[in-house]
Amino acid sequence: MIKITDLEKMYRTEEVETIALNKLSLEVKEGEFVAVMGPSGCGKSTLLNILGLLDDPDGGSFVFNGIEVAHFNERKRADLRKHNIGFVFQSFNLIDELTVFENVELPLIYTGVKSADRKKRVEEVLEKVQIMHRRNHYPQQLSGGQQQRVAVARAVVNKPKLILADEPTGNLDSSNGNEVMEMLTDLNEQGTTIIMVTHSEHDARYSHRIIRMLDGQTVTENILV
Amino acid sequence: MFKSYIKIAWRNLRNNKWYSAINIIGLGVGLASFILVLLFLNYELSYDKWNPELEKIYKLGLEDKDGIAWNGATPEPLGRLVAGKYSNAEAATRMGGAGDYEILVAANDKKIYQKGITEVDSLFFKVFPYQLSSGNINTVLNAPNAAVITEAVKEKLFGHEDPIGKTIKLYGRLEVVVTGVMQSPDQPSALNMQVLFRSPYEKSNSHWQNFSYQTFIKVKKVVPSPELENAINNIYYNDQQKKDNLTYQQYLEKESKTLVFSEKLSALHNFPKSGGSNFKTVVVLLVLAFLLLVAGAVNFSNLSIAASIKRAKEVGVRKVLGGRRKQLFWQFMGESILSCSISLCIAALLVVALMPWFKQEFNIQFPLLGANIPYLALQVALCIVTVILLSGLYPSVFLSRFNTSQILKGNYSQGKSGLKLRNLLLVLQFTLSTFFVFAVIVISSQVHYMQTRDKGFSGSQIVRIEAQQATREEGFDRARATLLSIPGVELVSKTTLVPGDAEVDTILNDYTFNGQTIRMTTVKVSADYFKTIGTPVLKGRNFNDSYADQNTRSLILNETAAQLWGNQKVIGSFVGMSYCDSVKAQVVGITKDINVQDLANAVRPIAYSINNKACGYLSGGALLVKLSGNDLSQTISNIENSWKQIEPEVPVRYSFLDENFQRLFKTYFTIQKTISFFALIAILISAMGLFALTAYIIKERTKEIGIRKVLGAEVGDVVILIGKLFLQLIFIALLIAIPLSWLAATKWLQTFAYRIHLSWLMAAATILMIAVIVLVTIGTQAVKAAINNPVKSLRSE
Repeated sequence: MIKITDLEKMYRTEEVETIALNKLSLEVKEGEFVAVMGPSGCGKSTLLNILGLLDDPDGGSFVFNGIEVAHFNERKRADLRKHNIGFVFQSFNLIDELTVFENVELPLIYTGVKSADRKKRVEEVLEKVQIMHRRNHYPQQLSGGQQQRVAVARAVVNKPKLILADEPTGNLDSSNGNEVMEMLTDLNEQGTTIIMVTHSEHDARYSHRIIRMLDGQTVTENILV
Repeated sequence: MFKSYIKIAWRNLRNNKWYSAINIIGLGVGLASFILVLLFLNYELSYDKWNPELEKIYKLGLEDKDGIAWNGATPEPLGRLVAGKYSNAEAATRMGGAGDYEILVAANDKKIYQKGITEVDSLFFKVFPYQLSSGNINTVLNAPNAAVITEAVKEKLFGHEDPIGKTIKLYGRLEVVVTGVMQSPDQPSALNMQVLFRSPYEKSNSHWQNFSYQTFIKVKKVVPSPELENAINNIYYNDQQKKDNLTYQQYLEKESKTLVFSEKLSALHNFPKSGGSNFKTVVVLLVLAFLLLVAGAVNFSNLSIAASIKRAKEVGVRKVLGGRRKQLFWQFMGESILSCSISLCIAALLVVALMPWFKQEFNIQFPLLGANIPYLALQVALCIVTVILLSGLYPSVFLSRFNTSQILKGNYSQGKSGLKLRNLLLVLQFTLSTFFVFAVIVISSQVHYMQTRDKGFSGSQIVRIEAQQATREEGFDRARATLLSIPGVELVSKTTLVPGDAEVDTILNDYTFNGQTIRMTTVKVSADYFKTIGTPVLKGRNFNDSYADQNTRSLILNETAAQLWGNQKVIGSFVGMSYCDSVKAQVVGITKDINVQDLANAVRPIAYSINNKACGYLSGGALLVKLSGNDLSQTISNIENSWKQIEPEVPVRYSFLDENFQRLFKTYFTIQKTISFFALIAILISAMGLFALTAYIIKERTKEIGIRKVLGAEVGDVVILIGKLFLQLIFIALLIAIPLSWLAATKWLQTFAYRIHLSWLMAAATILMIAVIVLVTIGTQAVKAAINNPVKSLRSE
């Protein structure tokens, strides 16, 4: 599903040039659950942004579903992204002005799903993450765990092939964290590919494979399953 | 999708209730002011546009080396000459009107005072495209005593009766017969025509020395003015001016020559060649109102940029979920559109509510909304689109451009790139506010000065009574005796130039002295005039009942006139009067200058004399009655009763000199009120903008403030930290605004003959006022932020 070869990304400021990804290569097969680990600043988030088509690489190749996407422009990336990729963030990133229902509905609006269909699908997925009873609440009115469940619901409502999770449990206590990890595992079992960046060895153990990064490169890979 | 934008927009408004409300209302008021002034401009521009034929009508006038001659009037036969010899002329007519003077019109036992009484010739309707509702337009003015009245006058005089064939009496003596009824145009006209009549003296009035008529011609084809004027001048020269066998071309090269000039009727109201118009005032008001509108729109822009830090996350998330830049752009534009639409609704309500007041203040007679609705709609649409673009474009581009991955990392610092523009906009707003504050101070000072300055006479307890010519001239002594017999009447006098009258005779006559010609205004008075109005005679003596005084052999000059004589020994000297070579008059006294008009006009040199026993004839004006005692209302009602003996035909009409004089200031009061209103809005808008910006900046820097406090910063330090950001900007605004407004005020004051001097105190007061507004706006919030418990702000971050 994903094949990246010699991927490069640099950040420049006026004085300093930081290499975030240094000729990194990686392959993820459909249906895999991969955890990416490594110390702060090793390039995990950069990798995730490029995988999520939020950022473009400075060099190398990125083949997504058989298509070379490394040099896609923003519009093409946005199109590909909204149909194929769901995101879960550490800080949830729910829109404060929208209710739970509307937050989850948003990706469907951007992919042009009709209103009646949207309602059905949002309710289905809210049911699945057990937050249906709070559908008309605003994010500020929910606990952290509940917010992350909404975020997961929003990530999966479009039935993406790939879910990218950036420290999904980072802001949660352990019981809420476990709940979210269970949800991701369920999704994976139903066929969704998941790539998760995490600091937590505990969370990483839910995955099939752990990739450890340092200074913009892969150092080791542990296959767990 | 659209629904989702509206939803977000609405919730954003709701979440920031106070900012949004004041913002929207501020913009609404700005819009309302702009639309009202726009309506006013449209109204002014709609003068004499009620019929396309009006474009072909020109007014003719004479011009010599001293400028426009005879106040724009022409010799009586000029029109006929042009119509006969100029091939492009379709028709010509001449008219002599009383204009805005109210003339007594009587029919049977109905008596009314009416404006717009106009003497015309039989060709009037060949030139002017008025419609008749009864009578034949081709023959209606054929009879030598014919009169055509408007529907309104018909209503007043005859009600529902048919007026055709009925006799009406003008000026209490001139009988004419109604032959037609004409429809008034439904749009304004520079010419107020209510009663058209043909004079029985038409024949004797028709000669080239009679300069009492306004001449209008209608052309077949509109040609450029120079071409038209050249053709007419050629005719006029060869027929009337030709002397010494000069050709027309040679005559044109001479320095002293009299030429005909033309003015389009449709431009007469706004761009008259003689006299003033308030077009400039309207345009200035429109520009100011537009600036207000910009200031209001800028607030939206400014607040959106300031709020971008908060909105950044939303932009990021939407982009991650597949939102394209274009979609986001339109989402933010949608918010501007929503807010502006609400403002527009508020503006519409305000316009409707303010309209009656506005019409009254600016003396507008016709419906403002009536004329051209699609055109107005287009203007308003254009204006609202401008406002939407001003308020929404930059923030929309700015917000939709946010870099997703940066934001989601928690890096919101991109918000800072909007800072420069935001600062610029704030400077703009405060420049405008400062300008208005200064303007209000200057205008109020000038108005106060005009009202309190010694105007050279005392108008208190003086009643101005309208009188017919017979009463003013041969009947004056009898009228005076009758009025003086009423208890409470102290003095009775008359003058042809009444202080406080809106329309005054400004014609200057030639007086000769030692071979030198000096132009002065001639004023006829009665002996008690100066005593009545309390004007002191400075040198020499007052008029008395001596034979010389009563028979136009004595003159009293005002100070301005005396100065023109070069401070020679004026008193006792003999002066030649206009239209008169043989008889000379002696100057017997000098009086203090009287401000007859408002103080925009300089006092003219005046020669006062009594009666028309010698030389030029002059009549007009009114009787002045000085009252004393406490029971004024009883005295007045006695005057009303006695007037029945003096002028049994005419109901008495009187007013108070004081009030008349105050009325001359109405325009300035209106400008003062309008500018004060604008100033209030400008201050409100910019203070609001500043308030919201401060709030956002504080929110943005809560953590910083917390850390600083933990590290030992005092409340004062924090206030300075926040205040510093804005004070520089306000300082720049003051630096721009003060010289600019000083310049504008100087220009404005130059239109007054008597004016205040600008002083640094006015600038200081302006700066102080702006400083107070700024300090209160920033200070309250800064202090609040500074006394917050830092633990709280650090934890919540």
